[in-house]
Amino acid sequence: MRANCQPWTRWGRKDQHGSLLMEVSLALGLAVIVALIIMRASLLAISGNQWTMMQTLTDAYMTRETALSNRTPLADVIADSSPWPDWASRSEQNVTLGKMPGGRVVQASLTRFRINIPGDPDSEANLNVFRLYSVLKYQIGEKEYVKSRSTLRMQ
Amino acid sequence: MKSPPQQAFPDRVATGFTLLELSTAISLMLVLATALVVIMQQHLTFMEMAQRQKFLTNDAPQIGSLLGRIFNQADHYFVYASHDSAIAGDAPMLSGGKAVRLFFYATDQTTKERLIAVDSSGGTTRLKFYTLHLDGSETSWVVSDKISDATFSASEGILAATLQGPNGEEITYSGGAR
Repeated sequence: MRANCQPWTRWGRKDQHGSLLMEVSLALGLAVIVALIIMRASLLAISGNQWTMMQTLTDAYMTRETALSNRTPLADVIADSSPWPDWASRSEQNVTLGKMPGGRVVQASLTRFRINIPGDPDSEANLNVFRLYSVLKYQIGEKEYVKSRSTLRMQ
Repeated sequence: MKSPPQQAFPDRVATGFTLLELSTAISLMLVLATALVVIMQQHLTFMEMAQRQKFLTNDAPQIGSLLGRIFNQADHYFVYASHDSAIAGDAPMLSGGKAVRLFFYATDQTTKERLIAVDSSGGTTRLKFYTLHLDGSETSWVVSDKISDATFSASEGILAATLQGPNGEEITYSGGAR
């Protein structure tokens, strides 16, 4: 008989039973790999957003620094209680940048100082030039970033 | 004497699965289906997070860029409690205003007047830019309808617009130091 002559054919169907398990296991493994890839991509996208949101908040805060450095009267800029003191008298202050989604308040550290470039009495214009610096330090995750703006004022 | 089926039908090929094999296969498929559902839920969660961050990543920079350019071209400005009080010429305020009236010097030595105000009509909060005409009429365009609120303030000689997003975000743009 055929079945007796070729026993592997007789039980050939039975040999395929294990292949179903193999297929399902393979599918499960593939699904896990796809899940990990998607999760990594999503995490990367979300972490990129975190960086972008901080850039948005710090850029917005720097518009205030630029506006104030342009607007503050020069008499106040060079006064003893100047918002932009000399480099030697500079000090850090904590400032609120805004709020993240969910209402979490974001803070950073602001340092202001000015650099004086005295005028040359021999020159015709004899301008006193002041460069006002605002330096903002903030953190995204473990990393610390610094952003600065400077404004030129003269009299 | 009763014979086993394979002896009664020697040519018949065993094509079925055992109960154990079927149970194992169904269990694995269930695990696979559960894993796929979890993946989908996780993806949806990340999508929702990205959507919640959209105001600060996309909308606020655009609004800020536009407001910054407008504020910095204005010669002077006044903050009012609302669009209507700005039109009526009520007393201006220093902070917490919902409208700002901007004055621009034109090249023909005239002063042009514009208005930016928060409009909360129709259940949607919008930031609108109004052009006031000599005949008393006004035309407007929407700066953004992605905000939940906005306030204007004039302190320390600068003009600031504080925008609130739909998910509790808050960001302040300043200008008007001309």
